[in-house]
Amino acid sequence: MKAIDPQDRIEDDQALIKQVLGGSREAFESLVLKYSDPLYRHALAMTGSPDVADDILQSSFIKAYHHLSEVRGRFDAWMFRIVSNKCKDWLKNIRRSHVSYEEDDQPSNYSGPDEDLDRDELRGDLERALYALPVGLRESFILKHVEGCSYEEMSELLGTSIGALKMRVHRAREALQELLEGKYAL
Amino acid sequence: MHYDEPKDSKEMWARIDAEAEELRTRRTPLYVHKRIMDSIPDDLYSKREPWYTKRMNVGVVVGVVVVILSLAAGIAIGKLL
Repeated sequence: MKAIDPQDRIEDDQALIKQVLGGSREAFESLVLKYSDPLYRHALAMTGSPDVADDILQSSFIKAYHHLSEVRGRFDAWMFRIVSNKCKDWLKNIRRSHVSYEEDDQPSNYSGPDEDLDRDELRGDLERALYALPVGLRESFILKHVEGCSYEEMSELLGTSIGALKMRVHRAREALQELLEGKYAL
Repeated sequence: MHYDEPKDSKEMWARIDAEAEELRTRRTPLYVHKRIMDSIPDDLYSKREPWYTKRMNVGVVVGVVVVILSLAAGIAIGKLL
């Protein structure tokens, strides 16, 4: 597959934005289709809830539509910040009966022979472990290991130095290892 | 691949990476696209045309009034000259 030149992508996005501002809903739909998947995955991984990810994506694109004339530079980075902030707001506001990971969310000792059950269990344990991480570590880990972003891309999206991001990912891996190794790495 | 008892953290990370790989294939549900497009307002960026390209719809009454006023103005100017 031919890689798209980042500069071409920026210019394509700017052309689409211009069309939206001129009244084209189709151009906005093109932007939605172009960027919704990575944004959806990010919201899903951050919140752990498909319903919440749906809502965050929808409200983020609506907000983007209303403020489209304010985009300066990369649309995808601007859009990512909207989604990221909404995820963080949701995480801040949610009032879960959150018991500490050590007490209640410890991975169970179930070890069944069925592969699907095993994978579901790993997924559940991984989600809980991710959820137990501080937001900044979780966000960095998801971008690096789920989205497969380079540190340069992460730095552009988050506005944080590459050194700091490497440290966050390293700390996230250490924390996940600590949370999961009791069950998965004997 | 069967997930038997992992032997060390390397295997644990291989499993986590496999899980992350699967997460990476997740797509936005189609109904979410539709919900987004249904939720954006129709008239926020309505197509703006310059006034000189817009069609003018002049009603019959307005037309008659304009003609009468033009005639009156013409007569008045004629008398002055």
